[in-house]
Amino acid sequence: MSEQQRDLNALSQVFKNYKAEWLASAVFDFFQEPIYQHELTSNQPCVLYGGRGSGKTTALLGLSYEGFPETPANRRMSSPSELPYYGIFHRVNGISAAEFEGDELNSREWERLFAHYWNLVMIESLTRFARWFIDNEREAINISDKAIYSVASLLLPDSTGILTLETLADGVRAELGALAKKVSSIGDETIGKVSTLGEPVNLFISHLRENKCIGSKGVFYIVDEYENLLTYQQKLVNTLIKYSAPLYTFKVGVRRYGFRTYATLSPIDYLEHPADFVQLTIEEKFTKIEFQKFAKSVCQSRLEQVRGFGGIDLDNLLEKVSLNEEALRLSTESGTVQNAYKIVRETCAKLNCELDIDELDSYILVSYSKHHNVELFSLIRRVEKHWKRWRIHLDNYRYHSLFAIKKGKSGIRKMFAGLPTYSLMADNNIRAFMELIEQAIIHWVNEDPKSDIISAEIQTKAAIYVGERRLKILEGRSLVGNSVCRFVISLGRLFGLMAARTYGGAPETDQFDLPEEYESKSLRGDDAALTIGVLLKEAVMNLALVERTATKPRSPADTKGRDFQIHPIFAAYFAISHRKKRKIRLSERNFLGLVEQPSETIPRMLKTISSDEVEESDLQLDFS
Amino acid sequence: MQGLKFTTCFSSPGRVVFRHDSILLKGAVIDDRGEWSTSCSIPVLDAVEVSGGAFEVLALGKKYSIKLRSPKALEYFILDIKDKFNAIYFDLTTLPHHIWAPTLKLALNLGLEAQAIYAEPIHYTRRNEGFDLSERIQRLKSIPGFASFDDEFEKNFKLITLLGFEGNRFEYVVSKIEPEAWQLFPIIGVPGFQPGFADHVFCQNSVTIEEGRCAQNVRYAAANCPFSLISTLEDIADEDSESLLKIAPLGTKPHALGAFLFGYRSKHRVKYIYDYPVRKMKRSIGLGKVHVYDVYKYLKE
Repeated sequence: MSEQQRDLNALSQVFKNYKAEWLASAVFDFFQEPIYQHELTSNQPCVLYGGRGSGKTTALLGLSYEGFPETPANRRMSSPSELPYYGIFHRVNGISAAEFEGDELNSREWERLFAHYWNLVMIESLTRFARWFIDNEREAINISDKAIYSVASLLLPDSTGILTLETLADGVRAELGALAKKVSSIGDETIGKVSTLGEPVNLFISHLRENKCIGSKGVFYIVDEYENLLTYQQKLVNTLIKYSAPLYTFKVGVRRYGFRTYATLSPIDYLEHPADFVQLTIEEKFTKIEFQKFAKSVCQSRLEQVRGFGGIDLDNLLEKVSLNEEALRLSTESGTVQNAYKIVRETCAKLNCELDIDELDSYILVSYSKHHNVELFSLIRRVEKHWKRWRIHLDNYRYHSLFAIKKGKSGIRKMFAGLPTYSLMADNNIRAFMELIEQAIIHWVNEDPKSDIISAEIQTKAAIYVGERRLKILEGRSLVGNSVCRFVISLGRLFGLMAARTYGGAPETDQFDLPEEYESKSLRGDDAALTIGVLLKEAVMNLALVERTATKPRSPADTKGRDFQIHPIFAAYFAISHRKKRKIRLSERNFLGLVEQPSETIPRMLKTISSDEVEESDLQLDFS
Repeated sequence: MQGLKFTTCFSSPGRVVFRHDSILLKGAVIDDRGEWSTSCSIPVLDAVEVSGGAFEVLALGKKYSIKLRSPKALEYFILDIKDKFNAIYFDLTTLPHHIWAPTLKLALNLGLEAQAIYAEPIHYTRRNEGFDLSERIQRLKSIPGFASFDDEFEKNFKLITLLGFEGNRFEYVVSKIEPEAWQLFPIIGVPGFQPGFADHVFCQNSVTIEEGRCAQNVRYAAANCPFSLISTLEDIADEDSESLLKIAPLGTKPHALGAFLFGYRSKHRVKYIYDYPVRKMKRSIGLGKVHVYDVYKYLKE
């Protein structure tokens, strides 16, 4: 297929629509069932944790009565009664939820008012569901006038004449309007007659279940963006989550840290995992290989729809380069690596020694010799003598040393290419992966259309572009986005400067943890610790940082620690490693310094880290 | 050109001609232009915000403590003003949206002649490649007195964002509402207060415009003219009269006034979404033109 026939507009249509919310029904044309789908459809309540773009909403929409029959595997179903379960999807409206707060009422009164609002919203969704069922299979379902009236009596201040789904929907709409007016003048109002949390919903669903076609099938109430509820509101809905099964089951979609309380209205009952709900964390459900396979199939199915891209295999389209090849390409202009190889080869010849090393190994040896002020002759002798240990050392530094080849020079400083690399950079986030693929293709078509593959250089440019664009919008993603953004930029610069030194620091340092006393200070309410806590939470929630369970504890007391890494989607932009490797400890002073005074903090940290870590790296090469 | 009928522009605050027996309600002064009212020839009332949901005013020998979601207290205040004065001027330069909008709405409802007044700056304070205007944003919420739960039913809405110099505020609103491309209508103030201002607005918001794929929906209205904004909003609204219009006033105060006036007398369903920025001290430099908008006359026509 020639480059002229590649339809970039169509590509954007299927690729730029990363958001499930944007795709409307088309989301299901490309629906790829995630590997955790069967866990979602169990009859137990389920909380699905996932960052923005992790595919959480798509997975939940796939459970809904609107979505399920649209998914490719289930399109043969012709009537609602064929569905194996019924999911009713509801996205929490944070702006509406925020109205139920203020010093006009006490907390108990706000709870009562919000419970009424929540009932109205749930009944509105259920009414729509029942209407859909009847419209598509009239004879299969019946909800009597009496049943409707009994629900309305529990829900509305005036249920007179409410005997049909339509009048119930009108009544709910009118009551929501009245509630909005009441909230707008809540300082002058009394609460008045309100419904009791969950009561009308239970009754409505009981009536639905009287119909054979629903009977004992799963009825899921799907709540997406749970983080938009205020903490006390979560407590109310948690109560429903805990006690609504088996009548109906909640499926909750929430960002990490978005589930702010597990309390319920009962002071002694908490939502507990696994007794009360199944907990699924999308990022943890996929292994690296599984995610790559899933992400590839998601993109591949989209590409098939676009003129000029059918039949392309992403694996083949994205060029992969070996570390040595990358080193040679990075030093094409300067010849640094090629020269190092020549010098090392000449030295070996003079010493009459045969070392199985390539150009990149040679570059590392020359860098070592310069940094430690060791004659290359004597270094080569040592390497020959302790070959096995040196081979390990060289392998440890091969990836890291690539960052230093173009130190201080313009252009690409490190390549980020190949499907596995893109997959790791996305960190199990499908939207991030699609963004990388789409940009790689756009850069390819615009810059190198005659080539059959997307070169590593083009892929890197695309990855830098994606990182830069994400950084630009990061500031607007959170109430403290400004500070989060400054922190990430400063930390990225710090790690970037560290990466650009082959020696003078531990290789591939790209994570940090916090001092052991941080948790206790935070619990004591220390201001600085609390500020750091808020920034970290927001940074993780908005995919600026990735939180990992510490795998390399610095001390026995550190086993429960958490490590943080700049989200690998930013790796190309900062020219830092996208892999999870070594960490530094970030003191409170340095953390806040990176936010407030980066120009003073970064050089100070570099100086300290350099002296600490040099010792560490030297220890690995103790030849005495 | 309808705006000219209801707008009077003055080259300096000393030239502003006020109505007889009128009063000015102003907020906290945080920059040069906020000082414009120091030489004001009519009585000036200071609205002091005591928390996000309340303000206090010393007037007519009394202290009024007004909760914004308590229309009775607001009504009591407005009726007292109406007893003594024929008209009230709202200083949009210094009053935040969540104080002037509900107060203006009630003043109009109670038949008090209301005018709005706004002083332009010469420059805004810069920070690196952007502008240094807000400490932070506080929350995304409706403006007091304008709550609506309509959208629980509503997938058919348009999000109209009145853009300013802070692209992060636009991004925040879009990331929370998540409109589809066809639903997102950014409005940019063209012409701006000063040459180049419109370019800044475009640059600061360009990434979100691109991400939101809404470049084709961008509309323009003179930055200092609420009436120009109203006609732009009418155009958008008339394209689909069934839509719920969610308007986020993130740009100039005259645009925010236009959004308010549009909603006040429009047949369309309108909801305001606001991010409650904490404004920085000295966010702008200098004092430019002063505009008086005859809100009362506009609504009477």
